[in-house]
Amino acid sequence: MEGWKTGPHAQKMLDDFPLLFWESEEFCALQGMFQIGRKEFEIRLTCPEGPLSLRGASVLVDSELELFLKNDKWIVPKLLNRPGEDVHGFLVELRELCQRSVENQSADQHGHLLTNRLPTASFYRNLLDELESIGWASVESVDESLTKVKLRLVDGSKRKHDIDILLSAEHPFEILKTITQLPTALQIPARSGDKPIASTVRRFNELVEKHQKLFDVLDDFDARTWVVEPEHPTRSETFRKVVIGKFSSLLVDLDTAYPTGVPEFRFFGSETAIGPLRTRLDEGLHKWDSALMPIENLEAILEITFDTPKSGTQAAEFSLECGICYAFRLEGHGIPDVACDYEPCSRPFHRSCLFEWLRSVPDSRQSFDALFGQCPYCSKSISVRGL
Amino acid sequence: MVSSAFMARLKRELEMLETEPPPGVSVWPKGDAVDLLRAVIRGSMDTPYRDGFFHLEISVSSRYPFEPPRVRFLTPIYHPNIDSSGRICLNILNMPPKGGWKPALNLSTVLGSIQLLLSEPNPDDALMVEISEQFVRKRELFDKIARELTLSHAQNEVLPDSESMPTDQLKWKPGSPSSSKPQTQMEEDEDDDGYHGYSRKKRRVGLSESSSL
Repeated sequence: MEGWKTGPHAQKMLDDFPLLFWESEEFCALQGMFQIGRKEFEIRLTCPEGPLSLRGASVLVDSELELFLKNDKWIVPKLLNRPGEDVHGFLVELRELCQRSVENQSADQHGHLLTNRLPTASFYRNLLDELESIGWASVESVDESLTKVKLRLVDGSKRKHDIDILLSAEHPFEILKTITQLPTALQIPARSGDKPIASTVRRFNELVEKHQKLFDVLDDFDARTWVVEPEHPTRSETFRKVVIGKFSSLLVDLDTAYPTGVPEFRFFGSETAIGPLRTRLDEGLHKWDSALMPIENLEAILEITFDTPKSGTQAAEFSLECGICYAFRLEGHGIPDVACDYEPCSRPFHRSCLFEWLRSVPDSRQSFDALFGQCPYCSKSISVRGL
Repeated sequence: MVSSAFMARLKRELEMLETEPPPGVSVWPKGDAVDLLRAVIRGSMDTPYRDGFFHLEISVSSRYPFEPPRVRFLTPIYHPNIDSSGRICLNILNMPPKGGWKPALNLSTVLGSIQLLLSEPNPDDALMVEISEQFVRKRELFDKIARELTLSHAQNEVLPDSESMPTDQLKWKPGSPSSSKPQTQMEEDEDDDGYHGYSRKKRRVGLSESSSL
């Protein structure tokens, strides 16, 4: 046994399990802390025949590790009884088994047990150090328990970008969770160095910089057109539905990687109003110039001028509300999605409202799931499909 | 579906009625409920109803705007298309195919139409056959009675809480023994053929049990 003490096996033990020590010079009992990932568990192993044999060996683990091993406990004796295995080999196997179990159970109660632990003092010290290094000016808010930090960055065009950082008690040893309002997801590296928040913020900043052109284009839409959707755009929404005329609108969905390129289009309105526009777009699309803002391209190709809702009268003129319920956005029914095809009328309706009306009048005809009747405004024929 | 459309629309209409009411019409919710409204129509200048305040009750069902609002006069009015209990005979207040209601109409246009009906009665679609005949044949007499009733019964700018029309209606009926001021005025016309004719017919159709004739 004296020879073992300086041999390669003892060195391996020291390298892989530095917190386990032999109780005596006989090397028949080992105890200490057993590390699995960032966690440590108490363990005691007895091996009557020394470190190179597992004959008659047994192992005791603390209750927390036992909880983790709950479903796999039956494997442990099998590992102990493997012929030709030594103590080091056994501990390596045990660690792998525990790691697997921890991963499997991280979502359920045992994981919860660990993550809900109150943070240690070093957690707070680390957090304050990090925030100090990022600069308190960018800290927008911090919640009471110091587990949610909102940081605000201002980019070159004075646009504000928020990032919420959710910290668990395991910080800085766990991957950060973040909430951002960006068009693309923020990738957080598994190992983020000794300043994980700072490096996350740096990546966030890079992402914001990368999307500057996209934000320029979207801001251009918000400033120069009448955007009806999204109602309250955030930086993560890359589409805009804009008014292009009486009762008609155009949905433009931008390519996040190439915002000035040709976006995806969808026209809304009566066929008579939007038909010609669609034709112009199809025929003029080759003239699209990515050096210009999409609005300029659209105005040139569609031969229209975008308008902003400046006054109430103008709003009434465009009148995008449903002609039946008088609402634009009706809870549970979205925005008006059908319109009278008779161009001078072009009244928009919620499908559900028009359906309900046509269903209420006896002179409507039904054919399969569609109802045919008269537009409540101009009395020309109108039809609506069932819901 | 129905109720969300109903609430959205009614809210919007009340806003519109408040900010841009049709000329000569005021509308307000009666109490806290939004589905029961009161309105006042001022009689137009060139009609026997001038200087009168005609109160109406509007009740909106939860099917609105898929169904028309129900409107009736609370103030007595002498009119070919409005009966003694305030019911109004107006095309747009009924569902198709008989009526012409459609969701394109609203409370504002309905009240505007009623106001127009006061200026231009429609004797061809009369609810009150006798008044209608009088309107066509004895227009002067019709105007006179309508004017007197306006002066005697339609002077309240604010309607008392008790709804006057259903119980008070008989008071002003021609020939009613228990009648008040308009009665006496009408009695002066007793010798007039038109008046007699009206009363007789009225009795024949059984609308006025208490008629003295």
